[in-house]
Amino acid sequence: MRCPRRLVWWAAAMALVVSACGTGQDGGAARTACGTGAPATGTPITVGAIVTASGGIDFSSATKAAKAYFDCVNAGGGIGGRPVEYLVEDDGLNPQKASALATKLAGNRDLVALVGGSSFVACGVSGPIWEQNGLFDVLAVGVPRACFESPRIAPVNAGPRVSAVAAAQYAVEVKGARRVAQISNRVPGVGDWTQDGVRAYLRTKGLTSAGDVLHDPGIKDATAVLLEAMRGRPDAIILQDPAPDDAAILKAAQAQGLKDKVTFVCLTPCYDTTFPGQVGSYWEGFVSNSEFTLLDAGTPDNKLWRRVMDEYADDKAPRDSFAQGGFLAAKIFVDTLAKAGGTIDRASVSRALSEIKGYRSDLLCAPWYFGRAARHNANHDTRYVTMKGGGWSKVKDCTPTQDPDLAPLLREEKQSGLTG
Amino acid sequence: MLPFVISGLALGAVYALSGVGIVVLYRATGVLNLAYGAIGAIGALLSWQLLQDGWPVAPALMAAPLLSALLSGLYGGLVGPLVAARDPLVKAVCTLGFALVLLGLCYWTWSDDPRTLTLPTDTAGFDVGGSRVTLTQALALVLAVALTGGTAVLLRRTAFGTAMRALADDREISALLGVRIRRVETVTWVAGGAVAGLTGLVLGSLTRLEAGTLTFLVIASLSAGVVGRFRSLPVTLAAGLAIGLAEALGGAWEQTAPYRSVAPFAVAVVAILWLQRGRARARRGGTVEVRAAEPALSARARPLPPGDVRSVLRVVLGLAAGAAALAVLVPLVVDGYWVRVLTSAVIFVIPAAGIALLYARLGLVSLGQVALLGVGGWVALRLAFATGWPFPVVVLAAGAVTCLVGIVYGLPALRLSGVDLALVTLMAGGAFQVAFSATGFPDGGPGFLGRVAGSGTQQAMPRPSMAASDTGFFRFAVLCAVLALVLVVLHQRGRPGRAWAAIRSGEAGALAVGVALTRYKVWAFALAAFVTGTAGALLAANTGRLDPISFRASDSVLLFAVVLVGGAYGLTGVVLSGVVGQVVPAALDAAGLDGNLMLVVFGAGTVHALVTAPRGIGGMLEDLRRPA
Repeated sequence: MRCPRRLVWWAAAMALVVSACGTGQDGGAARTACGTGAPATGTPITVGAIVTASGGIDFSSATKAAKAYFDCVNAGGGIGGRPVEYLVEDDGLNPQKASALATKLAGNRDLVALVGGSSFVACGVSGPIWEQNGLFDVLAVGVPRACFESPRIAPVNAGPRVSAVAAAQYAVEVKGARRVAQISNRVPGVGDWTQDGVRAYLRTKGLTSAGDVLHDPGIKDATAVLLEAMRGRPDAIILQDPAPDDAAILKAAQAQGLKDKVTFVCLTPCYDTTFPGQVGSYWEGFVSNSEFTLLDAGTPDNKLWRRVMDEYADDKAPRDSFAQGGFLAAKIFVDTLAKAGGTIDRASVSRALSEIKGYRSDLLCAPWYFGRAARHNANHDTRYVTMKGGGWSKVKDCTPTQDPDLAPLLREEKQSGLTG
Repeated sequence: MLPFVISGLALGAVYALSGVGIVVLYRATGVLNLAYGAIGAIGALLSWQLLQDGWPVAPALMAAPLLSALLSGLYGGLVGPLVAARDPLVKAVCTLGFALVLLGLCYWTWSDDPRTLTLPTDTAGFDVGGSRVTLTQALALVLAVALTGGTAVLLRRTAFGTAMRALADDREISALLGVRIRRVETVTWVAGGAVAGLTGLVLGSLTRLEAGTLTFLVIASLSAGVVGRFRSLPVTLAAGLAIGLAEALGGAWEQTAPYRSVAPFAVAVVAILWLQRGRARARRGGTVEVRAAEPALSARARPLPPGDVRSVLRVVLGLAAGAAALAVLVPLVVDGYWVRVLTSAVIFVIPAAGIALLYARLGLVSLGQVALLGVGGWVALRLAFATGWPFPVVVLAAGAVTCLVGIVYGLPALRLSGVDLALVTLMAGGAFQVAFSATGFPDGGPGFLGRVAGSGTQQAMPRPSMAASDTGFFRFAVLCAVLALVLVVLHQRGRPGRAWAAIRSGEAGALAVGVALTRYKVWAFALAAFVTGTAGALLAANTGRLDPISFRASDSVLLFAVVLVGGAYGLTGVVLSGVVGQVVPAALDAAGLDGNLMLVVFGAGTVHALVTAPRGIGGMLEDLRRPA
C-alpha cells in the first residue's frame, strides 16, 4: 500500500510493470535476533498457512510477520539446523477456494503444520480437512466462530466475541454504563455470535441490551446504522466492526455530537496506528480493547517482534495486532519444535503442538496452550488502550473476560493444568 | 423520526445521484454502466490519497472528478465503440469487466485500512429540530437535484441535448442525419465520469471509503433508474430519494430493521412489475411490439435448430464419453488440489447451462442465478441435517425446491424482456443476498433456519458415503453435470426447444403458430432453476458448509459474464465457462499472481473476449471445426 502511488497510477494504466513493489527480501545477516548459528541449510521443515489477502479484506500482515520470524530463525540456524519453508496461500475471500487450498496444503506430504494464518472464510472448511489429514493449525488471528470451535485449530488471539465482552465489561465496570448497545456486521458466525456473548455477559450483571444492530457487511449509511443503535437510548455502544466501518460510524457520531452522551468502546480492530489520524482529535480518550500487548510495549517478546519486523519484513508490512499474532504463532511453533527435538515429521509435530501447555509470552496476558479439546480460546484475558495525542496509550492492563460461555473452558484449564 | 428522515434523504440523494448519472449515459449511449461505482470509487480514493500526502484541499478534491472523467472517457472512446452494435446486456457486462479492472487496482493499491474522507463541508452544518445536518448531507441533496435539473435543461434546450436524445432513439438514423455519434458519446462518457467522481467523493464522505462497497452500491442505485424506466430523470430522482428514505426509516422500528436493506430491491421489483402492467395488457389485447431487424451478428449466433433423434444420441454419447474420460483420467493425472478445482469447475458448468439456455434459446437474461444456487445449497444443508435421506434424494429435492423458487423468479419474464428482465432478476438477487446474510446457512442447529446458537457445535454436511473422497466426489459431480446437461439438451432438441426457438425468432410469430408463450417461458426458467438447485446441493456437499459471502448479487453478474466469455450458444461454450470461471483463476493463482491483480486480469480478459469473440470462446472453437 505504501508504494509511490502517484507513479503507480500511471504505471497501472499500462498494467503489469508492478511486481517491483511486491516482495521484500530479507537482509540475511550472520548475527540475528532469533538464533546464534550459521544460516540453516538442512532439509527444510515445511509449514503452511491460509490467509485472506485479497478480495476486499487483507489479513496478510499476520503471515508477513510469521514469514519474517521464520526468515530470522533460518538465518540464525533454523530448527536444529533445518530451515523453515513457509507456504502461504491467499483464499481471496472465497470459501470454495479456501477449501481447495486446504486440500492442497494437506496433500503436501512434507507439510508438518499450519502456522500463522488468518482467514475470514477458511476455518469452517479447513478444520475438517486438517482432521482428516492429521494436522494442527496454530492460527494467528481467528475471526469467525468456526476458528474457535475446531479440535484442530487454536488461534493465539482472543477473537471478536471475547474482545466484545471485554469491551462491554469496560463500559459497564469502568464507565458505569447501564444501557449497552452494540453494532456489528451481519456475517453469520461473526456478528450474531459476538452479540450473543455480550448479551450473556450483560445478563450476569442483571442488565439487558439496549439494542443490537446487525447491518449488512460494507456499511453504506453509517448515520442510519448509528441512529438505529441510538433508538434504545444507550449510554454505551460497542463497535464490533472492521476498523473502516468503525471509523465511518465514529465520523457519523461526531456529526451528531454524541461523544459526551455515549461511551463508545471498540474491539481490537480499532487499535491500529493509522486509526487516530483517520477519526481525528475529536475522539481523544476513545477506548479500544487489545487482544495482545501494546504495539509499542518494551517487553522482550514485543521488542523482538519489532526488531524482526524491521530486519526481515518489508517496510510496507503493517505493524499491527495481526502482525503480533502472526509473529507469536510462528514463535510458539519454533519454540515448541526446538524443545521437543527428535525427528520432525507430521505425526511428531502434531503431537508436540497438541501437547503445548503453559506457553508464556509477554504478548499475552496468560499462558497459552493448545490441548486436545473440541474448542480453543486460550487467549481470554485482554488489555485496553485509549487514544491520546494522535496515538494510543495503555488505560487498563490484563483483565479476565467474563463470557459465561468460557466457563467449561476455564474448568478444563484448571483440571488439566493447561496454563502450567 | 426526524433524524431517520434526514439520514434517509442523504442516502437517497446518493442513490439518486448515481441513478441519474447511469440513466443519462444509458439514454445517450445505450450502455448500462455497471462500472459507474468503480469509476467514482477510484477517483475518491485518489483524492483521499492526495489529501494524506499533504496536497491542498482544492486540487486534491478536483482530482477525483478529473480521474473519473478520464477513465470513463477512455472507456467510452476506446472500448465502447467496439461493442456498440451488440446486445445491451453484452454492453453492460463489458462495463462490468472494466469495473473489475478498476476494483482490482483499487484493492491492490489501497488495502483495507481504516480510511475516512473528510470534506470541508463535513464540519459545518445546521440543526433541524434537534438533529444535526452536515453540509455534506445537504450538498448531496443539492447536487442530486441540480444534476437532474441541469441535465433536463441540457437535453431539452441545447443542440447537444437534441443530439443526445436523437442518438438514444435511433443510432443509425441519427448518424444519417449528421449527428456526430462518436463525439456525442465520448462527451457523455466524460461528463458521466466526472459526475461519478463527484458522487464518489460525497459517498466516501458520508460512509466508509472502500472500493468494494462503492463499486457494488451501483446495484442498489440501479433500482432508482429502474423505477424511472431508464427514461425519466425526475422520476429517477424521486425514486432514489424514496428508496433512501424507506431504507433509513426501516431502521426506526425493531421489527423492520433487519430487512431495511432490502428496500432498493423490493421497490425496484414492485415498480417494474407495476409499470409493466400496461404493456402486458396491450400484448394480451393483440398489439405486438415490432422489433428492429436483428443485426447480422446475432443471426449468426443463433443456436442450432432442434435436431433429430440421431443427433441427440450423438451429443449424449459424446458427453458420456467425455465425462467417463474425465472421471478416469483426472484423478490419475493431477493432484488433490486440482481435483478440487476441477470439481468446482464441473459444478459451475451446471448453472452455466441454465443461464445459456435462457440467454441463447430464449433471449432472456437472468442475473439472479447465483441466488438460486444459494437456495439449492440452503435446502440441501437443511435437509441433510434434518433428515437421513440418501444424498441423490437430497440433490433432487434441492433441485425441486429451487425449481419452485425459479418459477416465481421467472414469472416476471412473462411480461418483461431484455434489460428490464435482467434488472428485475438482479434486484431479486440483491434481495436474496440480504436474506442469506440475515439467515445464514444451516450448520446443524435447531429450528427452521438450522443455525447453531449458544454453546452448540457447528457441523459440516457429510458427503455421500459413495463419494466421500475428493476423487469420488469429483466423479459424482461429473455424473451430475452430465445428467444435467443431457436433461437440458433433451429439452432443447425436443418440443420445448422448438417452441423456444420460435419465441426467440419473434413472440408474434410464435403466438401465431400456436406456441403457448407463458408455459414455455416458465418452463425454461423452471428447468434452469432445477439444474441450478442441484448444483447448489453439490456445492454444499463439496465443502460441507456454505457462506453467504459466496452468494452476492454481484456474483450473479460475474457468472453471467463468465458464461458469455465461455460461450452461451453451444455445449462447448457451457463446458468452457466452467474452465474460465474456476480453472483459469486457479492457474493464475498457481503462477503466483496477486489475488487483486487477478481481478484486473479477469476483468480485462472479459472485455477482450466480449470484443473479439461475440459467441464466446466456445463459439470460436465451433467455428474452427465448421468453417462457414
